[in-house]
Amino acid sequence: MKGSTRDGFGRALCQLMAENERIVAITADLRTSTRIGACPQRFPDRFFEVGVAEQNLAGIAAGLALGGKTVFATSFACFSPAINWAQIRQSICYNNLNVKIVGSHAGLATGPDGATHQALEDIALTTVLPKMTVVAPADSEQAATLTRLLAQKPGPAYLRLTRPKTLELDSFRFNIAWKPLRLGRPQQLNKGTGLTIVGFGPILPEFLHIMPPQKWQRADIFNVHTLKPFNPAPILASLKRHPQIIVVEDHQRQGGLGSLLSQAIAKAGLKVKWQHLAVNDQFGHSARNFRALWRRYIFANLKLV
Amino acid sequence: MQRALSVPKLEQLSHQLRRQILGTIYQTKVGHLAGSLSSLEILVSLYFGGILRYDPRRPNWPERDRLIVSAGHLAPAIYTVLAAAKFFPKRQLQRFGLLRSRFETHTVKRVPGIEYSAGLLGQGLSVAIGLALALQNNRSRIFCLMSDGEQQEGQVWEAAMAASKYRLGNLVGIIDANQIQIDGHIRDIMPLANLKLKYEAFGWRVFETDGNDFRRLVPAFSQALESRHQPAVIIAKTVAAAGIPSMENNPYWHSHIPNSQEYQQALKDLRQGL
Repeated sequence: MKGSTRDGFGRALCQLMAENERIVAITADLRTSTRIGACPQRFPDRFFEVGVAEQNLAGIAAGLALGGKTVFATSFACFSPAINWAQIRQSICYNNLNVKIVGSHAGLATGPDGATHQALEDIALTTVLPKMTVVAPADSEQAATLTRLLAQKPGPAYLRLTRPKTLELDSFRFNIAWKPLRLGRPQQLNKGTGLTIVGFGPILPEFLHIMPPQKWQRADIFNVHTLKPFNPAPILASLKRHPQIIVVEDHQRQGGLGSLLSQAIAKAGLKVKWQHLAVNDQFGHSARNFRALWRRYIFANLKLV
Repeated sequence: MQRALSVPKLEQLSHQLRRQILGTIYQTKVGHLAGSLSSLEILVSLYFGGILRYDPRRPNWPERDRLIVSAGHLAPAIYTVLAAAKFFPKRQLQRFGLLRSRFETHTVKRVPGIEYSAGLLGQGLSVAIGLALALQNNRSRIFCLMSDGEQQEGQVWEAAMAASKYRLGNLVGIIDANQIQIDGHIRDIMPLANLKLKYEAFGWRVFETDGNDFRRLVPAFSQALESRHQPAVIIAKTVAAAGIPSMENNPYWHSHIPNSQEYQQALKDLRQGL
């Protein structure tokens, strides 16, 4: 089955709003693209539209939270948290308010809209903010679950979503039963010997899909759906058994999962064979097929021994 | 909520508080003087002129009116007024801006009576709008105090559009129009043209008034609160560093700290009254 992480989010948010009157949604002219197009009809008093004004989006969201609401503020990641980073920093994080910034169309996965719209810096921008929780689901099902978990956790958060329909994690034959998702705990998908594979977002299942199955089937695989708070412990334990790792992310090399993990590895004093598949300090490009972008900018650097 | 004081009492109070603000900034060597003095009558009107509904014993009382201070550098003024309104003892302000004091140099929410932590200009009006939307079915009115230099931030106008769209009759903006900013006079740095016409064009009710004169300021607040379906803004024309002739209307005093000679002169000026 295939879906997009934005689909999973939109589905979950509608359910949550039906269950809980304190939850409100606000958007900056992107209700349909962020999959909350049904909200204005279903919840007219709890849906707000600010137009193309992302600074105001973050500020009004902060005020709604100050008034006791749980706020989901949706836009594209290239606008929010980018245009309104200072508003997120002060009005939301410094004030420690219950606002979930939902940034869709993150990464090269955005495809046709091209370089300007492919946010490759959002994890760097958000993980650096005190009080922030940063979450990036790997498939639509997981996006729904994480949306629900974020609604239950008071405080600022960033939810990274993606545009295209991508592979669901449960379309793979992994060799272990998964524990229930918990914010802040990397999800171990598979157990193995000899290699550790770590990633977040839909690029992780898509990466496994292009690998020879015999390679990933014998690997420890971790889905780091929560980048902040970042808990590297299970990954470090895996690296102590077999010091070879591939990190894959649809984000700039600086400031994403690779940066977080390399700090943790240095702190633990481990020596590992390191491959980091990420965008190498450059802008993306438009393309009809986002998978072609991943191949060109990210997977091209893969070396399988 | 305090009983509304008479104009002579309000004037007497603001004279005392002006002296305290000057003393706090001189002694702690931090804070913004000119704006704190220009906005003082606005704050005293709100807290002692019978405008704001509040209870210092219950700073989180749900039915209270909310004041969002968007221009966070007005902290010396708002903290001093909150102390006078008995939110906390006045002597605590001796540690204003110092390490391990809860009184940040820009307004911070951990201080009782402060609703929102500010510092970067231009953000407060949006927050006030969010609050006004969240509390639409509540008795609370939302006030947002901005500076005039702050009107140069684009976000203010994003917010002005939204307040009008959502017909927020429970929102009152206040602009402390003291004509200065860090680098000089507003007319030289970036003129604001006609603020009244701008806000009117954005769908607001606009009240221009002398912002250091209680006789005009208090009635302006009452008028601004009359509408049920339209936001209002009070453009309060104030004097930077009001009350201290040796410092008035001089952008230098936006953020400079007086030395001992300047402080003595300022005290002498103050004694002569406004």
